Amino acid sequence: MRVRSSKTLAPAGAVAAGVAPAARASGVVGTPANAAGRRRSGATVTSPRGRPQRRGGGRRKSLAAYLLLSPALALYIAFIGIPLLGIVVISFVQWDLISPPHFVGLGNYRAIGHDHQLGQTLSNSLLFTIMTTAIHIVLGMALAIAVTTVRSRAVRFWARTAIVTPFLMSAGVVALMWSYIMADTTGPLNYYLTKLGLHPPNWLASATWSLPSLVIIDVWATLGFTFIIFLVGLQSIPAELYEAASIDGAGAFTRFRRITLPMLSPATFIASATGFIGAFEIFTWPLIDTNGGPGVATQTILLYIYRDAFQNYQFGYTAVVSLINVAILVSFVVVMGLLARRWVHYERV
Amino acid sequence: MSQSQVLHPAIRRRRRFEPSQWVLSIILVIAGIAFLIPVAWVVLQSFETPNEQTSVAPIWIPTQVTLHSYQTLFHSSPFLLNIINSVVVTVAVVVGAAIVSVLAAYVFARIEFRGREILFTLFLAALTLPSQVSAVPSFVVVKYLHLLNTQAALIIPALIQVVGVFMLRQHFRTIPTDLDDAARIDGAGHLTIIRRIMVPLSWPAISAVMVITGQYIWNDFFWPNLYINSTSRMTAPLALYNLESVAGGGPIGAVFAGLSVLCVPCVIGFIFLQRRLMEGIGFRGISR
Repeated sequence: MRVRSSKTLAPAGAVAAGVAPAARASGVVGTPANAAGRRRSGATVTSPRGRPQRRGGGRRKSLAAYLLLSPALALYIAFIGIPLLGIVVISFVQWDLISPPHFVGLGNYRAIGHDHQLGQTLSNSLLFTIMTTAIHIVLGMALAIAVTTVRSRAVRFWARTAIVTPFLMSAGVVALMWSYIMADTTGPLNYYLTKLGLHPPNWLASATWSLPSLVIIDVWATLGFTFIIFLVGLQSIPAELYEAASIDGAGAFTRFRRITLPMLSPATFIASATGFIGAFEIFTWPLIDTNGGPGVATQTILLYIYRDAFQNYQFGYTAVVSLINVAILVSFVVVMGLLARRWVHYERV
Repeated sequence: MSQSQVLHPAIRRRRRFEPSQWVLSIILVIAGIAFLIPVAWVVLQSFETPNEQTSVAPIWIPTQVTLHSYQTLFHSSPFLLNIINSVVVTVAVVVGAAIVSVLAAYVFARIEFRGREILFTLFLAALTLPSQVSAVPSFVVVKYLHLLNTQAALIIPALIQVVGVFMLRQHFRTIPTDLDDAARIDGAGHLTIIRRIMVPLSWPAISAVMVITGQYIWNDFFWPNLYINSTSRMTAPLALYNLESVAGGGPIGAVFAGLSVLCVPCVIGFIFLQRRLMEGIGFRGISR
């Protein structure tokens, strides 16, 4: 399952799990005593635009603010805050969701040492993520540049529609479709490859080819997202830069190297960050197309969590694996944030 | 491949009859075919007879167009109901999440109050982690709210779309505060300001949020798969997966028909909604 539609990077280090109780506490500051104290605390406040704003009626203002915010806040607490904290809480218990949970201390954490599948699962996820993100960046950028450069409107429209369409299809639909296409003896892919005199593997059931097969499916299905990010990035590059470079005698490659690539760095950053996070949480292709197999060759972290929780009812241990998952994502975000400072070029307007 | 072609329209216009343009066009046409051919194959298969569908050599053009697969699909499974479920869930989430997001975004953009910074940081932090990472505790929450196996389980948790809150807040901040001030002098409250100023002036941004939310919910597989287990309550993609796995390779045609039914709106939808969609996604790439 990819959640491409809705991700960005929060400031590095701001991790939701640790701060959720604060949201809950401040959710109830509508009380008069608090509000009165607040009003006394300062008469003016500098607005984001640097213009001082009067802060009269602070209490009524806060009340109105929390009233308007209450639906979002309640939903946030119930469906984002509590579940994230819940991972930590559940990691200390043994629980099958039917009989009451009982506390096992660090037992679930110790069990990691005896888990033979976890290592392979993590390396599957990581390998899949690196392969698919790299292909997304190269292919997405190349196709976006090609579409921006080509003069024919019909070709532009055709390419754009074709590349983005798969991204608009349900992951379930995509997975089912490819299970027919990549089927060993009955699928059209292998029929044509055999016709060409090749000896194609049994894609989804092969120990070597199953993970790359999922990469192919993933690229086909979600390249549209990366492509759009680069397309929008390219549109924001001022024409004068290319004109000036051409006048100075810069060739096409130099223009790409010195203008396009640096100016696209914010888009590249977003595409790799969302790509990594989305790919790491891949679920639907391994579930439907390979069922994690053969063996555990395509078992990804989310599929592992899903199976352990909803097929083996090991909720406590699953929570530990979920924490590992969160830790990997958070450290990735932190590293990306640090890298971005160095490599990402933001145009100052 | 195409990187040698980085030219801007302003420069491009000077030259004519470039062979590189031809090469580029051919590459893009082929790339487009590569992306659409699996969809075309499935759609064409859905109009074939069962014999043609199972033939080893792929038959692209049905010798006689038959709706047999569609009849099987709609008679042997409640697929129409599943489509209605998908529509209901998507519409409810798109409308509900837009309202929740507009209200929250307005507060974060316009009202100074104690706790604003920390709350906004919390909302931002949630953008980093996909909701799937906490699937297990979410399941527990939904179970204890007695929402398992109901459409509400798909709607209510999805009403909070942090990215929508964030996008709209950014957009509201670009609207001059003088407008609110003027309205306030005329006696307008927050809700009036939201309805009469914020929403009309940021309609493009709101509709972009609605399109990306709708696209995500309509296509979601993860949460319906987790929460719904009775066939009649499933959303369409899940129902199709269910049909395929229960049938175990039986009515392959019905699955093709279902896939086609779900694919075609995507192509048509893209043609109509592409600007909003690109704004919604492109927002990521250019902001910050």
